[in-house]
Amino acid sequence: MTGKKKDNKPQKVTDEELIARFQQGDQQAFDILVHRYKDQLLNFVYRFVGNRNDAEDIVQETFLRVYKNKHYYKEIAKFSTWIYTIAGNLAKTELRKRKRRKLFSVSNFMNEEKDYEIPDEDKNPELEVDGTIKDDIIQKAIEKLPPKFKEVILLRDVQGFSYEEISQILNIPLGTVKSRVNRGRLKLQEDLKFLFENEEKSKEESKI
Amino acid sequence: MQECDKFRVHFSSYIEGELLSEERQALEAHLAVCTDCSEAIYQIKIIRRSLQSLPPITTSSHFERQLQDRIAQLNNTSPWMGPLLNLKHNWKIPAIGSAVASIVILGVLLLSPPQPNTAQSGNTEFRTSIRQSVAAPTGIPGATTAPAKALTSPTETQLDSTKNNATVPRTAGRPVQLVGD
Repeated sequence: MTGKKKDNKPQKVTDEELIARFQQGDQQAFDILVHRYKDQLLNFVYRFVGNRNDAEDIVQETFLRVYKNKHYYKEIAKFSTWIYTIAGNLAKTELRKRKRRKLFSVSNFMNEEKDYEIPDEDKNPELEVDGTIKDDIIQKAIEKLPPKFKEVILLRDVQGFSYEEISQILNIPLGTVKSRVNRGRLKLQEDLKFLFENEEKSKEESKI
Repeated sequence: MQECDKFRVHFSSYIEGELLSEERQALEAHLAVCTDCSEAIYQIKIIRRSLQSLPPITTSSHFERQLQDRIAQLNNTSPWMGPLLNLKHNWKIPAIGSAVASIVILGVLLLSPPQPNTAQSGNTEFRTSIRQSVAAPTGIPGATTAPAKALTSPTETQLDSTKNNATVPRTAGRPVQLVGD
């Protein structure tokens, strides 16, 4: 993985060597893999589903699937690609479940638009001192993205995977990955541009 | 606006520096005259930076312990127990199974003829049954109507058989002697 969350310390044993050892019954190798991946998977899944408890459950389920299906892993793919595919599929399943629940829930139907409230236009923009957007605002914007855009944005911009790796994780062509990343970013920009409009407005007001 | 759409598909490649020089020059020429597109590029860069600087979260302290418990649970479940454990989600299968089993047992009990008791030696019921089977053919009054006296010791058995010797043929005493065998 070329992700930014990757530990910069030299790793003596590769993930692929560890899963091979685990396939031969080395339980400790599995524990090392859990230790290596638990936090980065949690960050990915949490940004995907937007709920910490659900995210932690999904990450646990991901490791259980790895444990139960260890022999299905073949060294033709990178271990990181394999485990992210499992986690991503579980996260998407969770979102589908929620969607079904939402469809049958009258209360949610009535409050459908309340999950993402756009701040008052007159308020100051929700920007940090360094110019970045505040975490909760960006998280809500991620949650609003359709899953097919959300997954590529998270893998590319939050997790730092290469386009080729994303293509392998999602099992879609490289061109589709690039196209979805571009469209996902444009969608985020469309949803968040009001923040910058306010920024422009305040700049102009300060000049006066 | 149609011209903008033509350039918008290249925004990500441009931001990541992956655009070929010819395409890049064409896009930059457009950005110089289009405020909407140049503004959009600026905003996407900030959004991307914001995504990259999201604070990392870590798993809870009990995460690995909980995972170990779930794995232990998985290992303790023998292969044939899996389907049985799944039955708890479908109460109809065990309910129907129990009903069928009860009917079969009841049917067998009602339809089968009474069998002589083949209990172990020393069993009180066995000895009582012997007494009944010995007494009944001889037509001893009360042998079938009077409740059989439970025999508790070989001595008592011998006494009983001695008492009956007057009317019961000698052979009748033999099974009683077997009680002690």
